[in-house]
Amino acid sequence: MGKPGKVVAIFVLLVALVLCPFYLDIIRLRLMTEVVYYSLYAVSLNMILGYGGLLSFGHSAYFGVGAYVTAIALLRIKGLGLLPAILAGGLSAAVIGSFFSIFLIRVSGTYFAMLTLAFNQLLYAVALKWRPVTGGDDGLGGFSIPDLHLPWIGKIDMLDTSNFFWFTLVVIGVMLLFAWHITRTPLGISILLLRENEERAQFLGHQTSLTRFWLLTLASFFAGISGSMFALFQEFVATSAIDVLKSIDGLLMVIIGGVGNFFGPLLGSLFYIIVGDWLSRVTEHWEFFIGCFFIVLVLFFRGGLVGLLAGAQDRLLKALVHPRGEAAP
Amino acid sequence: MESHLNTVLITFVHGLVYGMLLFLVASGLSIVFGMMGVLNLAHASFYMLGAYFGYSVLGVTHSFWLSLLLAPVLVALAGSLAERFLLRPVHAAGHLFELLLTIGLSLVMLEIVKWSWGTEPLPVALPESLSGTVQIFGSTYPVYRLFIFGFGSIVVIVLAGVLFKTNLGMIVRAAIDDPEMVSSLGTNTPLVFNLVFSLGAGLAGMAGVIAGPILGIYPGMAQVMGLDVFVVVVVGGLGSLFGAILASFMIGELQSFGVLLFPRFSLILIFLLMAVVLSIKPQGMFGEKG
Amino acid sequence: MTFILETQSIFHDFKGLEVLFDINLGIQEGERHAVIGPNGAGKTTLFNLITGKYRPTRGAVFLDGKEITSRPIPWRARNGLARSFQITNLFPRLTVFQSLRTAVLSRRGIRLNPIVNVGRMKDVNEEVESLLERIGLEDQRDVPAGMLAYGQQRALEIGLTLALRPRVMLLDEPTAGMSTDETREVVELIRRVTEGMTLVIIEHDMEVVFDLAERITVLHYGRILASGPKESIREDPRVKEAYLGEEDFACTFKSTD
Repeated sequence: MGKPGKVVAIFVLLVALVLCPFYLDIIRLRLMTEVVYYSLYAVSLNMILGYGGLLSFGHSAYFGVGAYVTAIALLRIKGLGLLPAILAGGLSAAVIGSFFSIFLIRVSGTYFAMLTLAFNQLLYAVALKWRPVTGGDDGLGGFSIPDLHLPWIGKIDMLDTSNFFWFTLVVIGVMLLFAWHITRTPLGISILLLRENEERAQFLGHQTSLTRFWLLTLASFFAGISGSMFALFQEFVATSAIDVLKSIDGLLMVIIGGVGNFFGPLLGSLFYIIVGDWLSRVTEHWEFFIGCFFIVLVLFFRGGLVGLLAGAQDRLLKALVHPRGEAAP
Repeated sequence: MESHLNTVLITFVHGLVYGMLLFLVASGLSIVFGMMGVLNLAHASFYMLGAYFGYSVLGVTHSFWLSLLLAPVLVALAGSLAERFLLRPVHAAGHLFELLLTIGLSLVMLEIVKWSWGTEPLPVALPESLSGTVQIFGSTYPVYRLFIFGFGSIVVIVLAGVLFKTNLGMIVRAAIDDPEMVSSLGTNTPLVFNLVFSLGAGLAGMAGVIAGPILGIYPGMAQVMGLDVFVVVVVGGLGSLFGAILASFMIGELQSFGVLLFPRFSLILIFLLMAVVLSIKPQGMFGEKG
Repeated sequence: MTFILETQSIFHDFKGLEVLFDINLGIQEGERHAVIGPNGAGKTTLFNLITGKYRPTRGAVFLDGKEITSRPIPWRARNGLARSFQITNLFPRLTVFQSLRTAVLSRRGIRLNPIVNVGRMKDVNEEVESLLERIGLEDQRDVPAGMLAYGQQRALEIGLTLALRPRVMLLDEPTAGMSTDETREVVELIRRVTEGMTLVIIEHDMEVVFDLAERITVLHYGRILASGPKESIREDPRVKEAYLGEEDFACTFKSTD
C-alpha cells in the first residue's frame, strides 16, 4: 500500500472512530472509550520499551498515580474543572516519573526491570496502606465527571456516554499526536539511540542519562493522562489501577500490537480490550487463553499484530504481483 | 520482662522458619539468573504448583511423606519442560522476550491452577506425626514449624554436599561462574542448564508442599511469595547462593519483626529497602554485574 | 610547544592486571600520529582512557592544556575528541543517512529538542548530504547500517567520527579485516577527510602506518618502547630487537623502503 493508500485508510478509520456513538450501543461505546484511553497507556509504555529499549515492567505506577491524583483532586477540591483534574493527574505522574528516573538512569537490562518492578510495588503498597488518602483496599469513589466548560459553547455534560467518548477521543488524540511528533524530533532520535547503541551515542556526544530522564518523564506524563481518563470513566479508583496486573496489561497490549512500532500499541489496545471482553463473555478462563496467546506471540510472532499484518501484506503483494511465483523483474 | 524476651525469641524463630522457606524458593531463582542470565518471573509459580500437586498427591495417597517426595519431582518435571520448550527458544531473542515469556508462563500457570483446583483456598491438615507442640522459650511452639526448618536445613546441606563435593556439582558451579568456558570444554551446557532449572523449580515446589499447611494453598500464594523472594534476590544479589542465604534470613526476620512491630508499614519498608538497594548497589550484597 | 592532546604518567590496571605503565604521550596540533604494537599491548585501552571510557588508575589526560581526566565520554566527544572503533560499533537499524544525521545533530547541540521535525532541518540535512559525499556512501544512504558491506560499515564508522568535526580524530584500526584494495580506498578516504586535522591512529598494517603517519609511538606490553618521527622509529634498534622474529613486522619494515 503506497503513501496515499495509507492516508486514505487512516482517514477512513478515523471517521469510523468518530462516528462510533452513532452505530454502537452504550456497552460497546464504553468499551471503545476504554480502547482509546488505554491506547495512550500502551503507546507511553512502547516509548520506553520499544523506542528506548528499556525494560519498563512497572509502568502502571504512573497510570495509577494519574488515576489516584485525579480522583483525590476531584474529591477534595470543590468545583475543580475537568481539564485541571486531568492535567493534575498527568503532571503528578510526570513528577513521580522524573523522580524515579534519577535512580533508573543508573541501571540497565534486567536490573532496570527489577527496579521498575520495585518502584511499582512501592507505590502499590502506599496506595494499599494510606487509607486516609487513597481509601486503602476499598478504593476511592463518590466523584463524578465534571462538566466540560467550553468558551462560546457553554457546558457539556460529560456523564453522557457519547460526549465523554468524543472528549476522550480529543484528549487522547492530542496526546497521541504529540507522542507521534516527538518520534520525529531530535529527542525522538536520541531515544532511539538508547536502544540501538547507547555506548556509541555517548561517543557521539549524547548524555544518555539526560535522554533517559526526558523519556521517562514524558512517558510517565502520558501514562498519567491515560490513568486520569480511566479514573473519570470508571468514577472509581482502587489498587487495581497501580498493581502488577495493570503493568502486565500494558505489556500485553504493547507486545500483542508489536513493540517498537508506533501503531502497534494502538492495535494491541484494540485487540486486548475487544477480544478480552469477548473472550470473558465466552469463557470463564479467558485469562488462560490470553496467556497462551501471549506465549505463542513471544515464541513465534515477536513482531506482534503489526508484524503479522506486514508479513501478510508482503505475501499478499507478492501473490498479486507475481501470481505464479515468477521471479521479480 | 521475661515475656518480652520470649516474644522476641519466638518471633526470631518464626523468622528463621520463614527465612528457610524463602531460601528454598529463592536459591533456584538466584542460581538460574547467575547461570543463564534470565530472571524467571514465573519461579514462584513453581512454589504454588508444588503446594497444589502436594495437595492432590496427599488426597490420593493420604501420605504427607509421599506428597513431599512426589510433588517436587512433578514440579521439577514441569520446570524441565518449560525450560526446554519455552524458555530456551526465546533466549536468543533477548532479555525483553525472555522476561515476557516468564510473565506469560506465570499467568498461564496461575490460570491452570485456578481451572484445575478452583479459586477457593484448599484445606491441608498437618501430618499426624508433626502436629504436636513443644515448649520453647516459655511458649508452646508448633513442631511442624521446627520441622520446616530442620527438613529445609537437611535439604540445604545435602545440596551443598552435592554442589561442593561432587563432579556434577563442580560443573554446575563452573557453569554459574562462566557458562561459555564450560561449554567450550565440551560439557553439554543446555543439559546442565535444564537440570539446574528443574532442580530450582523442584526446590520451590518442595517449599510449596511444606508451606501449604501453615501458609495456606490459594491461587494468590505465588504472588505473595514471589514478592518476598524478589526482595531476597535483590538484596542478596542475583547469582550468589551465599547472598541468597543471608538475605533470606534477613528478610525472614524483617517480615517476622515487621509484622510484630510495624504491621501497617512492613510492606512499605520492605519495598523501600529493595528500591534503595537496587538504586545504590543493583547487584545486591554479593551478586555479580548481570 | 603545547600539545593538543597529552597523557601524563598514565598507569592503568584491569581487575588487578596491570595493562599500561607510565604512558607519556604528547601530540601536537595537526600532527599525524600512529600507535603501533602487538595485540594486547594496550593500544585500545589507551584510546579508551583518552576518550573517557575508563578513568586511569593513575595519571592524567590533557586536551589543549586543560585536564580532562575525570570528564565523561559525552563531554569529550562534544569538545573536540572523537573516535572510531576497531569492532564496528554502529546503530544497526538506522540508515546511513539517519546515522550521520544523529552525529550532525549532536555536533550542533541539538539532542533533546522535542519540537522540531528533523526532516525540516535544512542545514542539518544538507550537512549530512555533504558528509555522505565525502565518505562515498551516497548510494547507501537508505541502507540500514547493519546491512552494509563490511568496508562500507568501516567508512560509516569514519563518517560518524568525522561528522563531529573533531579537533583530534582517533581511529582504532580503521583497516581491520580489509583486503588490500579496500585498505587502499580507506587510506585514501582518511587522508582526504583528515586534512588539517590532528590524527591519532592505531594500526597493524605497516604500509598504512607509514603512509598516513609522521610520528609513531610503539607500545610493548603496556609500555612505550619508542616514540618519534617515523624514520627514527624504523631505524630504532630497540624496536628492531623487540620485533626480531615477529615475521610480518620485520618484513613490512623492510618492504616500506
